[in-house]
Amino acid sequence: MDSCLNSHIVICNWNDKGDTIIKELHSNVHRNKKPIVIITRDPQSVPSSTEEEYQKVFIISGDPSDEKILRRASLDTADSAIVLSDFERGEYADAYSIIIALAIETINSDVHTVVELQKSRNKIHFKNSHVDEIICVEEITEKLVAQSAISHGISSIYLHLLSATLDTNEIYIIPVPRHFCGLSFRGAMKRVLSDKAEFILIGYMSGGQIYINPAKDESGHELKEGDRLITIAYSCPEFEKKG
Amino acid sequence: MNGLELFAIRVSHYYDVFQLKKIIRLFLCLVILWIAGSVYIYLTESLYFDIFSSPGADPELRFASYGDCMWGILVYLFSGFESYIPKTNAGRAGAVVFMVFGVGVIGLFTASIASILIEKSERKGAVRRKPETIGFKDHLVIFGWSPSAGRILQTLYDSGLYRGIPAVIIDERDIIFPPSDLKWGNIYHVSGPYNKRETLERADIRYSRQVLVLESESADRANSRALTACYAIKNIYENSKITVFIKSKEKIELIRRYADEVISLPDIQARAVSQSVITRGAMKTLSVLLEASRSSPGIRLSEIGRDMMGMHYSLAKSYGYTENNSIILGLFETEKKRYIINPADDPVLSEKYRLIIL
Repeated sequence: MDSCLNSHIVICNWNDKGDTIIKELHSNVHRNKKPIVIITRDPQSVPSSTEEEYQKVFIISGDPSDEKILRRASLDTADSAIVLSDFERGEYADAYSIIIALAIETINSDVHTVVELQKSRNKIHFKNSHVDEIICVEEITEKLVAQSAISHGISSIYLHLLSATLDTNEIYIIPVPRHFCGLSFRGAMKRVLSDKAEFILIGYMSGGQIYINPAKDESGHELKEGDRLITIAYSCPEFEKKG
Repeated sequence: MNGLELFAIRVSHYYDVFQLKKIIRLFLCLVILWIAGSVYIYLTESLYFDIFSSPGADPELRFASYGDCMWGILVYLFSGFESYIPKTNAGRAGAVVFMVFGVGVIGLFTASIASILIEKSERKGAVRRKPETIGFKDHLVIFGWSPSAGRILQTLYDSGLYRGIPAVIIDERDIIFPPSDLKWGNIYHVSGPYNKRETLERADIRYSRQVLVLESESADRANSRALTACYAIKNIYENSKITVFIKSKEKIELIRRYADEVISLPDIQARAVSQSVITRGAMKTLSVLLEASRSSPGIRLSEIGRDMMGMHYSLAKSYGYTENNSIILGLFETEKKRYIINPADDPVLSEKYRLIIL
């Protein structure tokens, strides 16, 4: 394996979702495809595919909670780490994920760590860890079922937004361009609409909070440096340099 | 559903659940036995002494009036002979018969009351059974009770769009217990197999607004159950709106044939993980989008207003935002049932589309 790996993605454990994750991460929609290192105790379970998406994918056999193994995957220079559930551990799958997440954060606390959780009740155990995102799909899916009861067929829109392909839109969160600083969300929206931009502005992030299409009276917030715009687009939006 | 209908449902519910019919029957038997006994004792005891003895001949006679007879028989029925003892042979024979019957009827009556009290304490916190005598309309039907179902009901309640609407849970278990903090008030339970027409009819499936088929947490054959349920529902009422939530992809294509919408957990899970690496904060955004509330109902479909008909999509986007503060995300092609998010070809709005708005 290339020992000079940098800004790569480390996947700990392998399960049935791994294949989709590799294909989404190495989809043609991304210009810069980051190398992926998979750490698993069962390397045979990873498909030995010749598909384009499986290029720049490396496998390390071993226990992902082992510090030495994580260092072999150059975790200290990695961009992101994904901890998938080890289904063989049954009820203790989440407990094992917590151990791996703690090991990752000990080696490199700056790495963006994403953990797949089986039971939402185990979320509390991640409270004191520095895990960046906990994906408990049970919660998201339940909300999706509720949304589909409110508006039939709506789930396919959300699935569309979750798919990273050339002919689907995704959610992109981008820094506020300089010429948008000082504008309200409404002002920024009018600018985007008049420019006939290829993306749809839906909200902004400020101070860690997300604001989706704020109401007229709530949109007084002036966008500033450090805020981020939430957009829906086929590929990551780029602003023309103005002012 | 108005207040009167809800009151009728409540009364009917107690009538069914607490077997009031049986108790009323037993009570009527008891009253008939009491009146018949009183008349018999009055005739045999009081009239006998009136005819064959001079007034005041028997100072201990306790059945002198009809009121005394009624009181005496009531004592027999509940506690047997005490101070009221018939003096005639016919009276004594009758009293024995009334006591034997009385013990049986009273025993059944008190046992029924006791069972109600026990059942009520056992059912504390359980979902009420759906009354068979009252039909529901425009309600929500959920197949399979699980913690997920509770959380979905809570999300729908918070959205404000389902308040006051009854939810009927179809589950094979006899009693189901919702979480104590669930705010949804009108939850009813229909117990029975998913695939039986009778069970579905009892849940008034053909008049429901929406059917949610949820895979249970533990069952391995859950997708078979979801498939059977969808098939049975569509057989009864083809136009029912079914959303299925499955936790594995087994038989997914077959389920899609009968369900209007299939939400598969593995599909979402893999994509959610990769999205959270590609765009940090994307999943948080999605989660916020999914938080439906009265003020922010999330993504929804809307008819195109007359004022927007004939406009190009790009112009409609500006118009929609300026006039209604709505962000138009795309179009839904009604004939092809196709969602087009952020269409690149700038189509002209016509009757064949609906707007996808935020």
